Amino acid sequence: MSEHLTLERLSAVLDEPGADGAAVAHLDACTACQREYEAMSRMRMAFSGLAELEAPGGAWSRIEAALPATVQEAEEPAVIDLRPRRRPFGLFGGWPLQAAAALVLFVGGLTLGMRLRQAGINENIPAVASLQDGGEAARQIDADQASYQDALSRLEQLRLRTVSTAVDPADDPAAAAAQLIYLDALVAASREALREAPADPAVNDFLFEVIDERDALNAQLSNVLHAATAEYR
Amino acid sequence: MENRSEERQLVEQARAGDRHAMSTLYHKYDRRVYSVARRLTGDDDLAQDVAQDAWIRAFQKLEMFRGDASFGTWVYRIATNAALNRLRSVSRRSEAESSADWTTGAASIDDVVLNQRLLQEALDRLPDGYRTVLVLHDVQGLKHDEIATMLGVTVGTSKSQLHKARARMREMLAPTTMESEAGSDV
Repeated sequence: MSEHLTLERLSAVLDEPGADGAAVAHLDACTACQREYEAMSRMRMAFSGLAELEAPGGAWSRIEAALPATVQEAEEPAVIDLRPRRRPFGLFGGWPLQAAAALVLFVGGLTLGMRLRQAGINENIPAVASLQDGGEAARQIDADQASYQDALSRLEQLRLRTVSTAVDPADDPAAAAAQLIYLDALVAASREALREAPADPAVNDFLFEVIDERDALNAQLSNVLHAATAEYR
Repeated sequence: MENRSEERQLVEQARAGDRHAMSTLYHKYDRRVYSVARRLTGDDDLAQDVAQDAWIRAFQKLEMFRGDASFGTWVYRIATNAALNRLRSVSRRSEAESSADWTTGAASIDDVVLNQRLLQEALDRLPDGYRTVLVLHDVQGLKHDEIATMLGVTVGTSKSQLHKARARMREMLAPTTMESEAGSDV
């Protein structure tokens, strides 16, 4: 009995003392291991007693702004900065860039619609002054509605595209990894769009659908890679 | 918010779009949600993103809340899943680049266990895989079968990861009493 228990084994005994009789017998006779066992026990208790952390200030206002159902005021036409921040969009076949561009168009259409709605209830907005003629206003409304519908259609195309190109990570891990990058780019583009139109339900729904799809694919890919690594070992 | 019925009422109001009810629910559980996000991700920025996504998702999916558990438990699970999914996406810290040489500098474990800042710092330095299991088991109190289901691993893997995580933590927190002696199995 000259050798001590490893820390991992002590940890196991801590949770399931009945599962390792030899270790328990060693503990009964070894004061060094007893001290270490008690130290690990105190450490475990310390973790279970960790206090809750303070959430950063201002979080609620950001969350509230991102919730749909409240129409946000749009002061300027939406312009989304397409410069890559985390990943170079152009490296992956161009689709992420197209997705971002479609989202820009979507938000542009959305913002035009919102400006017009504001114009209808607020005569101080300059846009109203330029719409003196009722027929012109009606045509402008039709055009903006068409723009918004077109943007919605583009979003739907993006959604269909992600479904139609779905790959099974078990069949083609490389293609799945590429799809993952594409979905990640869509998430980033959607977030950018939400900064411009935080209350828009279509963008919100799109973001969460893309996040769900990305996370599901990522989990599948992780499992495949994990299994492959285990097999290799 | 004294009891479950009052909370259910708040949830109903929130479902109807009542922002005040949403705010009340948020401020009741924001620390809990942020804590799980922060401890699982080990990163301030990621945690804020995860917590925000979790809250937005919770309020958007309120019709799926059936009231079997408290609202806090429900949103906390959403946050846990969101954090785990985010970790899978970013693969932030591998075992190879983590905590091998870092220690708190404390002389004994007793100097550390009451210092929450040091405990948190050590947790942050664990590899993501170790930290995830340790936080889920020792901090959040989940059982291994629950953890295994959440992570898509076996119960044995969950246990093994936990023991390795504790061993790494123990080494980081303070010198072990057997450090100068042999450390192999019996």
